[in-house]
Amino acid sequence: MKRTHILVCTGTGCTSAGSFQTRDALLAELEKRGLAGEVEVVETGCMGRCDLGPVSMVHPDGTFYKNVQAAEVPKLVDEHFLKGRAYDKLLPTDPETNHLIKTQADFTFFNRQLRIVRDNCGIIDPEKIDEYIARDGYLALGKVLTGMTPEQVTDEIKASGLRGRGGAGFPTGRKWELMRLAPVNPKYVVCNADEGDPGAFMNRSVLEGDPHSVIEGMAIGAYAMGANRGFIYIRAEYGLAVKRLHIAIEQAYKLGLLGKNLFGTGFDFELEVRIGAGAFVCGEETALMRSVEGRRGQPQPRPPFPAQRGLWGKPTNINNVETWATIRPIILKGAKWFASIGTEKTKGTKVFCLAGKINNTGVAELPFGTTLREMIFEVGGGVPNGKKFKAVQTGGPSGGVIPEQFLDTPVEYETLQKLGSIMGSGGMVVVDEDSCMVDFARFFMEFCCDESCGKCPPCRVGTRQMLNILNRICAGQGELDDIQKLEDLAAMVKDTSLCGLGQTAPNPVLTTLKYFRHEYEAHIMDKRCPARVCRDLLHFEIDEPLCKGCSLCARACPVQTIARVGTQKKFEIHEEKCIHCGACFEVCRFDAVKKTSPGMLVTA
Amino acid sequence: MSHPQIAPNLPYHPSGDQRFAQLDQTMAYYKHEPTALIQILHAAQHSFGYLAPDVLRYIATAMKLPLAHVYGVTTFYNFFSIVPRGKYQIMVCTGTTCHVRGAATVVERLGQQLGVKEHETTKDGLFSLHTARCIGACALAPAITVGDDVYGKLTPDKVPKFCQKDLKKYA
Repeated sequence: MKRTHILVCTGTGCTSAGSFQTRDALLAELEKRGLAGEVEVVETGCMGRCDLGPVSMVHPDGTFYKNVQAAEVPKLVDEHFLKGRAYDKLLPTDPETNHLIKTQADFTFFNRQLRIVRDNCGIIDPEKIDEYIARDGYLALGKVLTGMTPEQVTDEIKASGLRGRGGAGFPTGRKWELMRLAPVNPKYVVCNADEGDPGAFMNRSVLEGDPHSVIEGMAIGAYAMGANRGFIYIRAEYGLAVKRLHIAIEQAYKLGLLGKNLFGTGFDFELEVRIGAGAFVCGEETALMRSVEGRRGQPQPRPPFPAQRGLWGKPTNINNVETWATIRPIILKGAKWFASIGTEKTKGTKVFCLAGKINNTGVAELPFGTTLREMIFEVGGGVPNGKKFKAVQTGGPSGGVIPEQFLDTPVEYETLQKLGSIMGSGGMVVVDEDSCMVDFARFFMEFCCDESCGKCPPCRVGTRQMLNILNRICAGQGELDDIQKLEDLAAMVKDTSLCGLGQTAPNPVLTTLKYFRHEYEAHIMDKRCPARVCRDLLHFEIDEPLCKGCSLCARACPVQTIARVGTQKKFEIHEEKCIHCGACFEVCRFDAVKKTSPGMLVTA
Repeated sequence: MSHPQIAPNLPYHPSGDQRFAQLDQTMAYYKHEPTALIQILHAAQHSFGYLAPDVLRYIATAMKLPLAHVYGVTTFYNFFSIVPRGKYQIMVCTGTTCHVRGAATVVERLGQQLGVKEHETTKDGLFSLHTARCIGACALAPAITVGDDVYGKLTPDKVPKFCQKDLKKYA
């Protein structure tokens, strides 16, 4: 028995910051100091604070360390495990009070959370099934198979009020019931792990940190709906998650938790991983099924719904990773417990991804009904560098932006919809005063235009036309009736597109037009970009008194348009050749390069 | 003249390239099921680097699928490439978070440093430059991947140093 454990995060964020080297250094150092028998090094999944990586936590005292680079390990072992005191250098600081945070429990980012889905993430080693089982893993599956009828399981999920976490929020229990009552066999269950929304990585964190919870949820669902075969459709970009899923499935097969005759009850469940190939539209359920079948991922009209005619024409149930991972806690703790969390219409918790211009970037699980302000300013720690909050973008390219005046809105499916946005997968990208909302809308339109599968013209042609207009506005060539044209096109694309991608593609444009119309007008009428982002509307100049003549800017300039003023030491920018790339602005250490968007004087 | 030995019950590729034998095994593993086409294309791209017309034709014949179908699937998905790419692909994430933190400028600077445009390969065949939809490393924005390695917080001003230092490791 070891006296203490040090948990090293090995999620994608931390591994790219070097957490495997940290682990190796820890093992070597502990061995060297003769502590290998007392301290155990555990590799865990994502702890949720990827920007501080590599992070680690010492169990049981809860000390949370950030930036644990391999080079710091000897000192850390010395201080923490030999001398028995926290190593201050690696403790995180509270952005508000500037005090060191000693334990995870004192960390606002963590102690505001309520972890149901991510209960095991960052605690157990995702590659060891024993650790999952030690935390009541596969207990729910056993309970269901040996003591509940499929009908009881469905009723339990219905009573819990669980709604699909993939974005639309359809009641999961009702979806299951439709499937259960479908008279056709065989039936299939599918896990949608094609998390394509830019700014969302909660599914990846669950798959990397606790893959068995998804497998167990799917097995329970399969039993309730009468399916014997399941697929996990995951994006190819998530290499680590794919690897851990494969390991988890193999281990579950070995222990008889997948395969034939589970728990001796005669129930069979085969589970396979299908890897996507980089098409955003495959997150749409009908497109996803085409892709699982090995075809082009193009959506189909609904009805027939997948529960009626899905994979290979048979009834199919598709749920999101997070939905599947929520099944186990509901079965274990009961529908009543789950229904007591959240709001009247939406029960339970949701994993949100906080990203963009925010202090605490990471994954946070919060109950429904938490307000945007609490999420961004308390859990997220606000906007860095003293900048001003401008808006938050929810739900990826299908969602919209929400400006400051609505920050006190409690987050649930309906409230966000009322503001013109959607919950989507739960991504929250915060933008500050340095972001241009027209450019932001253009970015999402470009995304949707690229990712449109091309099947239906409103989406294929409509998004392209909207993108052309937005490009024109950003380039300073917008015309007065462009706003009207955008609004007309948006309404058309929204109403007539075949699938969710097209139907929601205009949302970013519509919401920015609604809340930040003045920025569009500044671009079109004054040829000015208030946030100083749109290149064609920028002007760079060197402030002579501030220039020290260090030549950094001249060396950074890719088109060599910065030269000394005559024979003087100081520099100037020759406007004719300037491509407005901003390289000089970034490198100047004396704030001598001025970036402005003066607007053009209309001279007739 | 003797031909290279290939398992007798597998289709035969005249070039004798062992990678085709490997591909045969992958297809056999999936029992030549048409539904596994995407998984097979993944395997093929992994060993060949890209999906040349010859490879696609070979897969279509072996799986008894129309070449048009195989080609259609290949070109539908961003992940598959029908042109050669660099030994290491540099993928710049252009997700929302990376975008607001300057991903577009990162692509441009990388291109300048490497002397290529997007989708192009450097003269030595080592790197090709691509952009990716969100790679889900938003906490590390702007993020890029080189081969299987992830590099985070690569703001535009760090690009020159990155090219001079980190990319040298791959040479």
